[in-house]
Amino acid sequence: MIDATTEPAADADRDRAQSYVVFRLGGEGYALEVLRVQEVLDVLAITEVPGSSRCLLGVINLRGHVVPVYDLRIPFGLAIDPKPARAPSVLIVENEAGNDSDVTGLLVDRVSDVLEFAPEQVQPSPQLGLGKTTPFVRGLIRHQDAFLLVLDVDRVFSVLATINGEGV
Amino acid sequence: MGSADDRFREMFYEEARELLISLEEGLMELERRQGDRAHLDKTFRAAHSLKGAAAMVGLGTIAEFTHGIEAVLDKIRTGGLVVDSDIITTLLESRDHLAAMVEGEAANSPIPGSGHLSQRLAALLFSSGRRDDPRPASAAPVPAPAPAPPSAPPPTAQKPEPPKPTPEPEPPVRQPVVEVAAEPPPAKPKRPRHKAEPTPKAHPKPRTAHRQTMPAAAVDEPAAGEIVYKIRFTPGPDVLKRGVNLLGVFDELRELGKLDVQANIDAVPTLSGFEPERSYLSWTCTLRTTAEPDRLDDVFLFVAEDGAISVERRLADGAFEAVETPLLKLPPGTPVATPPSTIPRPTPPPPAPAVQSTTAHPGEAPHPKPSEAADAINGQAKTAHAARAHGRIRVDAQQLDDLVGLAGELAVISDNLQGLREIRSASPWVATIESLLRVSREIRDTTLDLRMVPVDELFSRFPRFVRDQADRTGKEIDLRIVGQETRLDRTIVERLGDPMVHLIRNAVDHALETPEEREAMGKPRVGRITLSAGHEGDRVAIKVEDDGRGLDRERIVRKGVERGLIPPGTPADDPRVVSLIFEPGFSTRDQVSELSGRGVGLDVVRDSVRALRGSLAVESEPGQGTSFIFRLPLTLALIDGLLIETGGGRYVVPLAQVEECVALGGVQQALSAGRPCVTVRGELVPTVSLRNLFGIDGPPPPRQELLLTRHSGRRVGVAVDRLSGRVQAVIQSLGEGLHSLSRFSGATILGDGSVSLILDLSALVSESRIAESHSRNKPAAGVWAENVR
Repeated sequence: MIDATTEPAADADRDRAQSYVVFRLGGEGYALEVLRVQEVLDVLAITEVPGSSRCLLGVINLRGHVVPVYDLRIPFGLAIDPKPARAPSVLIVENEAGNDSDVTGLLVDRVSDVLEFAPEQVQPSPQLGLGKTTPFVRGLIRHQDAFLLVLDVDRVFSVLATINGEGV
Repeated sequence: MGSADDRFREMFYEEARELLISLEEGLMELERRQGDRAHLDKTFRAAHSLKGAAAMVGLGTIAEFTHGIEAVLDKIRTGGLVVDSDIITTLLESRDHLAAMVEGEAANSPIPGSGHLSQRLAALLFSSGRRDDPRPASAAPVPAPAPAPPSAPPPTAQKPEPPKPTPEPEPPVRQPVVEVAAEPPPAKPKRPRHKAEPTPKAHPKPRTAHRQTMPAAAVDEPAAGEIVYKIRFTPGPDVLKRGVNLLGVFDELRELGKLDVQANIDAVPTLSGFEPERSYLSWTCTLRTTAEPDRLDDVFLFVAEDGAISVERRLADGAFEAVETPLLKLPPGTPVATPPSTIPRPTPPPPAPAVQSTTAHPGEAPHPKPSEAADAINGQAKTAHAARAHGRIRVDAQQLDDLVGLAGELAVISDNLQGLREIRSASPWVATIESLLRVSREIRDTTLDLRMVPVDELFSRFPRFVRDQADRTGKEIDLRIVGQETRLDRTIVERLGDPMVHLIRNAVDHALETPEEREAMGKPRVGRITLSAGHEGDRVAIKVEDDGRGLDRERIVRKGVERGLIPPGTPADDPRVVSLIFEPGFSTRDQVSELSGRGVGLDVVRDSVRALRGSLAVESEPGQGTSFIFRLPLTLALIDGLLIETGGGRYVVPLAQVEECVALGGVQQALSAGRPCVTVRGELVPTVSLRNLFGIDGPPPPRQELLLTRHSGRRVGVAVDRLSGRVQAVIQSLGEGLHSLSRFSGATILGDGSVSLILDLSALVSESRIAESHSRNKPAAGVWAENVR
């Protein structure tokens, strides 16, 4: 608050700006609120779960807790690259905002950055044109001559839950 | 409200829940243990403490409602009321409402007290006062309107004020001074002990009229063994705001013996300065009793906090000596509040009553601060002591589970370190490694033990439940409970409640006959339900047993054949018949009973027991009764398992599910009804291949292992690639989304840090059968027919 008197404008901006984890998946750039992301891991030993849905890659040991890891390519309708160029990353995401004891891993191609954007930089997402990803995108951010798709992670989890409930 | 208040509230809710449980237990037993004074006292204390605790955190409505219950219990305690079933029902219903009020507060949506129940409670007090009170003369003055009852202003708005009409009727021979209001001239009610009754007119003037001397009372010589106490009591100014009913204090004192009360109204200001919610009164009581000073503590427990109390006892020479009790003890050297031992108390000089009233109440003024502090400290010590009495501390369940998980992992890790002993250069550390193993195993076992609770926590709700069900159905039922001290995993105890409720309700509705039917059959009129718990090897068996009519096997067979679950012509005494009742949607009732749960069947019960890694069996004799037997693991947190490999993946199989392992290379393979079977020692055993089920390509290793398990009473083999050892696994849930994968009951982390899935063989076998019957598009025939869904 003391800062506010010295640098009012900058601080107000900072107050409203949100940090996003920026990652790439299937050639697109995505952004996800940093508050929901607990950590980013390199892919380690994943234990497959036979009979689960195809988007469940398996479970991992996250410091003593068993955490499922999902591949977003399947719900997003992206081609599965059989030989990824480089080791992918796993975003450990809170299933509910603010609850850090219940997390899920999401496999992405590469985490590139953490950036801040002000709310007005987030544009509403188009109703069409993003293919299967449309329902999972809740906004667009123009960044470096391209658009970042802002991920609606709650929507992702609810779809994953439906897929799990249906079995394979 | 500050956070400290919230914390106290939280503490109150926890305490209240415990008290409500003991209140319920106490009430349930009350009828049976009529003469048991200690039991009655215990029950009363539960209500009393709850009332006090509620008042202390400012939950006046709860305190008030509880007071109604307490008053009835008190009436029973003093012999004024004979316990019968109706009274217990009223008290239990009130308790339930009280529980709802507490939970309502906890959930921030307060529920008001039930006027209806309060009336019923009050009615109990009234009726009994006339009917049962042995002292004839006493009842008369109470309801009579004329001699303004000793209690608060007549039209008190607060409904449950039952003690008012009840107060242990004054002893027939009244002292002239006993109660202020008994005095004839100013037929004016005593000063309000209740808030919000400013008794408007006239109160400044007749003050003197109220200031009584008590000449005769004290002269009265005490009987042998009696002690005469003089108690000066000045409650804190905010006592009414806290919802404390001061009348209760006098009622309680009256229980202890013969009580004379004298009010001091000097501190009451004129109307202009009068704050209705403030307490201005102090009292001097003379109590003749055989009770020990400690009993007085109980009385003043909830008002001592910010008030001033002094107790003196009369010595043989008529002088008074201060009495020390843990709560009332004054710091040494503290002068007693008011000049001691002169009975007609010299009233404090009245020059400036107005000033006095605003600063403090007269009794407190001479009190040096330390005494107040001491009171507060003693009060805290008292609650601390009460908490310690249980010898327990409360622990967050989540933290406990985390601890169990970590302790289990620690044990696994130190198990793995044992490999170091083989390394020569590590030899100096061998002893340390061994100690590490020992200690970590002990830590694991102790933490696991923390999760264990006596099954009584589950059973204790059923006496009430059975009573209600018996009332509802008009049957007479005797519930027996055996082995309630058996300890079981907390989660199991929590989750077994609904299945047991289901079985007990079935027993009441369907199994037990009406008293008339039973008599006609030569059975005792009263039906019996027995709940028992005990150890069976490394499992705990919990049995729900009734002596009712037993299962109707003919009817089950008929239904089973109708539904294609068993081949026609199956004899009624086939052992498989009774287990049909666990099939989904299977009910021998043609119409849904009006009484029993609709739609939800025993299959749900069985499934919930399976989810706890337990089993459910049934035994039944026609005309003799039925028993349902749950067999459950001691703990859910840990399993002994076999580590197996299939198609490169490692899995854990609970040892309890494996009867035997045989090498698959040597046994003869065959097909039976299109299903792969092997012959094990002459017996044809159907097999399930884990490789097929998991969709693993490639040829199996030349020599596979077959795990023999039992499914629906039959042996089944599960073929796996390799056995690689035994593990003790700490079970973790697979997480929300994966519950539908019933083939895995969880996951565990192996010593090398990798995650391994825990297989549920029984679920695997059912799954493979479903898959097969789907692929063949017709129900499987023959031996397996009864299992097809």
